[in-house]
Amino acid sequence: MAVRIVTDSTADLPLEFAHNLGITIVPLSVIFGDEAFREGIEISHDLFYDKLIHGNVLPTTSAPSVGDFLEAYEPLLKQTNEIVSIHLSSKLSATYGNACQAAQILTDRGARIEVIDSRVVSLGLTIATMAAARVAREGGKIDQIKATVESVVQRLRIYILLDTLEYVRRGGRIGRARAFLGGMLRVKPLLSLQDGEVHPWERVRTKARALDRLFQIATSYPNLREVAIGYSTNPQDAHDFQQRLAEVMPDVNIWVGRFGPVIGTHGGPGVLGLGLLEGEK
Amino acid sequence: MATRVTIETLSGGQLREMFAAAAAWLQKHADSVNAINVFPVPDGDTGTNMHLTMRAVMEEAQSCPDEGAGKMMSCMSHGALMGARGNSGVILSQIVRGMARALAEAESIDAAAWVRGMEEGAGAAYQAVTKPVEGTILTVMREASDAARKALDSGSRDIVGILETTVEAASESLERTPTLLPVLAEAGVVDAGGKGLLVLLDGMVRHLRGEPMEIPASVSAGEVGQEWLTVTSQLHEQEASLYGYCTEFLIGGAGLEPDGVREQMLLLGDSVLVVGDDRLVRVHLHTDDPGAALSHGTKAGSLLQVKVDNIRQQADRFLEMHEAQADVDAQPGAISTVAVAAGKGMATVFRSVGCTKIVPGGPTMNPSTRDILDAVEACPSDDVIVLPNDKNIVMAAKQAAGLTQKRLRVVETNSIPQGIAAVLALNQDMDLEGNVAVMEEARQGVHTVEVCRAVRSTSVGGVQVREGQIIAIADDELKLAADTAEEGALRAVQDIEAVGASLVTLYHGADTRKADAESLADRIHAALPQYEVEIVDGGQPHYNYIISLE
Repeated sequence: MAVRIVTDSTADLPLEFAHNLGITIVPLSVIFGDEAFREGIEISHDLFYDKLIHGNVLPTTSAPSVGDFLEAYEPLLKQTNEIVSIHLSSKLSATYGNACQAAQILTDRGARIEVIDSRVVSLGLTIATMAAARVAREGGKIDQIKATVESVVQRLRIYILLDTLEYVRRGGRIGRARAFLGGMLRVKPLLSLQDGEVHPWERVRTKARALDRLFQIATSYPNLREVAIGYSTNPQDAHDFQQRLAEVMPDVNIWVGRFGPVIGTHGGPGVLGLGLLEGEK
Repeated sequence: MATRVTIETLSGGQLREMFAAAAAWLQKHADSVNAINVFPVPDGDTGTNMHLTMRAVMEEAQSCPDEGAGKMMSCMSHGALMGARGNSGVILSQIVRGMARALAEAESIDAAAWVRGMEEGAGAAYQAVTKPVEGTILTVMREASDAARKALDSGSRDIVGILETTVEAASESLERTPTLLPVLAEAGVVDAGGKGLLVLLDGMVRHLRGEPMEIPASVSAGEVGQEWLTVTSQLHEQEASLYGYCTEFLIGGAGLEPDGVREQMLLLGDSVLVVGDDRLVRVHLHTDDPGAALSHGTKAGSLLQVKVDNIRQQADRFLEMHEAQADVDAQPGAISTVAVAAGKGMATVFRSVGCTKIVPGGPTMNPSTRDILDAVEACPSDDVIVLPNDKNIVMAAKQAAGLTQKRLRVVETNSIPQGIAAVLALNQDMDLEGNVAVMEEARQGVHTVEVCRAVRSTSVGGVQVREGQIIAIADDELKLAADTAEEGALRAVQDIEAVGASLVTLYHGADTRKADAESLADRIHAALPQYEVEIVDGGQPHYNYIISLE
């Protein structure tokens, strides 16, 4: 009985792709007014960003309920006794906590469910989940999968270039980057994720310079294995950046993905994210 | 005084009605619960999440056959579990689940069973949370159920009476939450989840007593009384109002219909409050279309008072100030910055981007080493970076380095724009030398144009200048003379070779009118469309304009 892998929709994995790898995705929701949409199922990325930019109502987000997790786990437990469930940073969402509760309920009935707080989001979560799925597919044991994920998570570095701090402020996830609020000048905030929270990195005045800084940051890691580039509404920025990096690190796997509605709610339009996976020491 | 209602048992159907009323009551209060949401994540959605959770509870209850109270409760518990949203929603779902467990197969509920349900609900809520925090919905639920138990033990068998005691205890418990949870006291609010729970319990009592459930019951339309102000100000605490304008007005006339007016207003926005009688109606709402609201008013009668405020703007300003201030106070960084700048506007700009200390001074008023040293000593950290922002001040700044025990580095910024770029590049995660390197690089990425009046006639590098004429200096080199500041600025910006630059910032001086700066910005943008142009009130003496290109 192979170990089954579960993650949440903030991993921004395309459904079909996830299905092929045997990964189960539990969706978070975005809420406009009192209408809730399950990410990846009930609202498309394009429609979401259109509503975000042009609508009158700013969305909020909500974690899957304990019941949602029970519904995801229970069918899997007909095929296996063991699940590894990997989720976005517990400091940014109740998702991890709710997964733990559902796991507790099912553990009482004899299943083994390892719930892991990835301390990252989106592209970082994708990298961690894919690594887990690969080990699981090769018949890896649950402890081995857990160790792989922990190792990947420790080697992940996340940087985020925002167009504005407005969305992350309104969403209440600004963390210590609050220090960047209140400036009288228009700036592009460059943030990082540290210990699962949004962290201020530096501010630059223009996008061109911000992209240069991101490039410098990426190339300052000597031992990169993988680079994921995420965008919300600006695919051209992401692809240009990919090309620029590919020229200096031809052997590194560099790929581009799009942030889904939940990450989009908190980042806003025009976001560029960088997930860097360092090699093992 | 109305006759006292007493109820000793509730059937499944009655239980459903009571929960439905509570859910509806919560929906009406969702905004005011959202408004005070600061813990654990200040995202202003506790009310919405609890309301959506209750909606899922009621959807399940509506399709549940009335086969006893226990069965009904178990349907609602299932709905809660599946529909729980947000932290408070999850805790609420556990409360409902605990209640359902206690009531199990009961045909109907009596007072004893209800109290057992409350206790089980409180217990389940605590278990749901890995690290229970007091001063939250947990505390309110526990103290409410303790009060219910006391009322039962003292002999009461009336569910209405017990619920009244429970609501009273919940309300007092809620008032105490700021003393238990400092983040609430800091924000000056009570716990949002606890308030949501109180609203639910209150809704149950109101329903059982057969009271009308409108907000608020006792406001009169004739004058703006304290209660009206209290209620509207609660509506205004809303962090992210979905609508842009707070609109209030008073309609006078004959045969007015407050209910009809309310219905119209509900179509236009939220936070709708309509009170009054057939001759006078007072209206409050948040809407994006105040005009439409007012025109409904004029159709109903004549408008006596009108007040329209842009709430989004107010809320934004308040939040930004509040948040920026709180953080600066709370977390001094390991590295401080000291910048030399002249003019109140410039000092404000530097402070707004996080500069620790400002030393007044500039090209016409060089600060002393002592002035700089004093600012360095006044910084809270041992590592300090000084930004002289003028090449004539670099020496004084460097001299200060030898006179302090602190680790002082000078990044040789020779203009205000360079200084600002350097401050923005500060990264508290890097060490002092790392920051010096990043700030040095940042300053070099900026071109500066300074525009001022020549104090004497001169000729430099082939540029002839008459006293009193305007001159433009680009990156420390005299470039041209012109008759007006705007013309000099425009030509200098056009001449400068700033490869890849995309942003022009105009800091206009103390004696330059904002309208002139705006027209200059338009001309720059028209001549050089690749630039975004930003105008900042620098208030600097001497220079009409200090301009950065980056």
